[in-house]
Amino acid sequence: MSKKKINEKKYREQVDYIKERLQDNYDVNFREINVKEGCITIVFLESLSDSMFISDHIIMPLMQESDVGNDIEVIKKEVLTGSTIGDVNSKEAAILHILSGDVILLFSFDDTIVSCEARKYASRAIEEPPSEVVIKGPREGFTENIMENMSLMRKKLRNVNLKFERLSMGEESNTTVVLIYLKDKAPEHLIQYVKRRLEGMEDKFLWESNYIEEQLKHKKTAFDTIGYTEKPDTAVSKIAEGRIAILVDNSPFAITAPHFFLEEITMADDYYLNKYPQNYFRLIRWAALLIALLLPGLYLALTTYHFSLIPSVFVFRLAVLRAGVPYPAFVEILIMMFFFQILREAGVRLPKAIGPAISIVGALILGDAAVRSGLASEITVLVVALSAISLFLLPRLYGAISIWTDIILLFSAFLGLPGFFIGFIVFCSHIAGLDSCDYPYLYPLGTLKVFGFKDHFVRYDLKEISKNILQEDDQK
Amino acid sequence: MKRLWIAFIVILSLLLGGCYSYNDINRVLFPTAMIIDIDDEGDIMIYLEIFHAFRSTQENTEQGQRILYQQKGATFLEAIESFDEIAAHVHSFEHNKVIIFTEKAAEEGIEDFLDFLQRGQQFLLRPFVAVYYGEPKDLFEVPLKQNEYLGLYIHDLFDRPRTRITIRHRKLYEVLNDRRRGENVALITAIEVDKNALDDIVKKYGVAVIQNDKLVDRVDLWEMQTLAFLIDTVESGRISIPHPQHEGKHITLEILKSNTKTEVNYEEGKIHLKKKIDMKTIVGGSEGSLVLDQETIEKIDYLLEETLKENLHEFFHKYREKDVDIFEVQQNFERNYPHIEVDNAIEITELEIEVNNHLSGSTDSLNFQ
Repeated sequence: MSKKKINEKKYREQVDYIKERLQDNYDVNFREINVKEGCITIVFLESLSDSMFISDHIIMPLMQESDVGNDIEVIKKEVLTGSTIGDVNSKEAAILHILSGDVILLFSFDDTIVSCEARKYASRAIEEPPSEVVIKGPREGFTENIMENMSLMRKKLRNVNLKFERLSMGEESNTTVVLIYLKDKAPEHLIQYVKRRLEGMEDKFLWESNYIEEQLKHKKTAFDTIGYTEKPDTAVSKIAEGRIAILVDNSPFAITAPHFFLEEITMADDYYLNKYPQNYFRLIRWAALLIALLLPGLYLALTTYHFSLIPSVFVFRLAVLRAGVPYPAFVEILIMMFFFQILREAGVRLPKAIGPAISIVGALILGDAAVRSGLASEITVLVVALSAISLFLLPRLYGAISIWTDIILLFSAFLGLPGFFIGFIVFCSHIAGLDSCDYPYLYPLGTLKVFGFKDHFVRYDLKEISKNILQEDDQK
Repeated sequence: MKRLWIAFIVILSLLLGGCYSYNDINRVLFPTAMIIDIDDEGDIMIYLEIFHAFRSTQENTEQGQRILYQQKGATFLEAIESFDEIAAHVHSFEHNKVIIFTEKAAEEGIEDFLDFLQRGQQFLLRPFVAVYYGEPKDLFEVPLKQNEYLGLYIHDLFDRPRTRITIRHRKLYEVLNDRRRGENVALITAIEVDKNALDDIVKKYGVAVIQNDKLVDRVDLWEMQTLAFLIDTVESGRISIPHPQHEGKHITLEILKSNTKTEVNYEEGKIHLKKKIDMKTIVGGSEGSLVLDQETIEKIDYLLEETLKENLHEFFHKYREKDVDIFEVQQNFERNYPHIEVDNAIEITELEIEVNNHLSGSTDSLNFQ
């Protein structure tokens, strides 16, 4: 059998294989072009590829140059005018290219498969991230397009050491995942740790970045021991501190690791605005954390076990306010917390235009109605509302602290103040026992003296803030 | 191991938790004042003023209500326990502000009451203690304007900063301490109902002297000023002395600071009790004009010293003759001479007074608040 016949047979097999694998997909396009040497089949997905680009830079040149010859290298270098052109090793890889939006060229006169990038994804515009609104500072946020996300980061950190390592994850979704770090800043053991954990993933599909977060985070805790952000500037600043960022295709969030408890209290504004008012607000956030976590438990312990610790006039006032409530204070608080969670969930799930309004009206009406109906006292409504509103200052801790507030409340209900303190100690032990990528979750608390970390309860001057806390820690 | 520790702490807390019990705040009766009396048959009478919260079904509102209860028993504890028979909720004495002994109860002796109050876990040691001269019912019936509750009113009355020369108002734990020291003498603030004012009022008036747990005397208001200098409880106040430039008239000195140091010396069977009073004063007011030159200042210092010395000596001798040691001579002596045994120190004590006054000037018309 002549070489020509062998090539033709192989070409037919390739086309048939792709047709078979991609059958029942109406957006798959097989375009055949006859040239002097034989036939060229162009395969692409209309839904992911740019038809105009394919016409202008692939089909048109091939048709105009009917005598393209049988040297594939000449075709790649002199005929095709696309920016990214390469060889594909196997039929399976060709399928992956097609599913990624690339164009595949199959030749009847050569067994080489050529790919040409012609992706055109539908993506939304770059907008201000709704979960990380800032008063001052960059307002752009990540989108679902990983290339755009990479460009947003790359333009902020023009550094040759900034590495973007591509991984393909999800056995069946073949999702692109990019590991981003600064080569001279990120500790090597951290990079290896993350890679090792990612390699151990057995998920078939990877819909969102949380799949990777769950693989990296500390298990059995409500706290996020792996960070995430929608803001490229925040992601880049963490990379500059020696951390690793991970982008997942189709997710508008960048994962950052390791992630520490202190970061839940800090906001991007802390670094973009005057440090004095921002430090004051940061202290308020710490106070809000304590109020959210401890106030219901403390209130319950004091008003059911330890009347002597409350000023007399206030005790009498509390007694009057609760006079008509038929339930024990513990049940009363649980009911009000349950109501509040319903309201919050309603506010989150409803459309943006009416969600907040419904929440506010609902809170006002429900609170007032609960008091009037004798289901709860004003003071309990106040305590629960204060605790819940305080959590709004720390939205990322909402889930974890809500659970721990209930746990401390339970301890207080059974044991009064001793229970309250036991609950708090258990809470502190819990977060002290967590780790993030082999770093303690409470890091750098407890190591402040070692390298003078100046960005904890308040931040010092920007020039004094340690820029690479992980590497400095390793050196110690 | 970690879980074992946590389980241990929780179990331990459950056991310790036995000291407390869960009570909703609206299902508790809060006594604010307790009066302890003895009736003609010798039974203990206890009167409680109680705060009670309830929801009125008629007005459909939550209210606080003042309840007055009276129970009696052969012992203090029996009387206290009998309150359970008439109370829908448990009593919490944690907000009891004052324990008042009637004159009769104090004369009979407060030892047994103190013992119960000290041992009973439901009682706190921080309420003020007072001796009331009058009928208990009259005290509760006074229509107080400044507070709805007698207990809260007396607490505020005793607890506010002292602007007069007076002794410290004693709390229960202080009385318990006082009676263990020296000659077992405790000074407890006296209160009475004044029916001569425009409205009936409850007022503090002097000090009840308790010796060996029994009421033995009462120090009136004027004498109490002298007593305050001797036991170093003067913080501020005013003292009047003869006018240095106009005979028959007086000037008033305002005390800014006062400190009395005590020295005890034992020589040849005599105790020399030296009281050194350092004062800082200003002229607070004057009947007639006052030219404040150096000579006048020296004269004022002299007159003050003489006035104080005369008053203090007179008052000291009065109580030495009564053989009541309200000046803490016995305990000062025992501290200074722990190896010398003297049964009744005040009997052999001579008082020496030294007054150092620093007159800083006077108030003026601009010095107002």
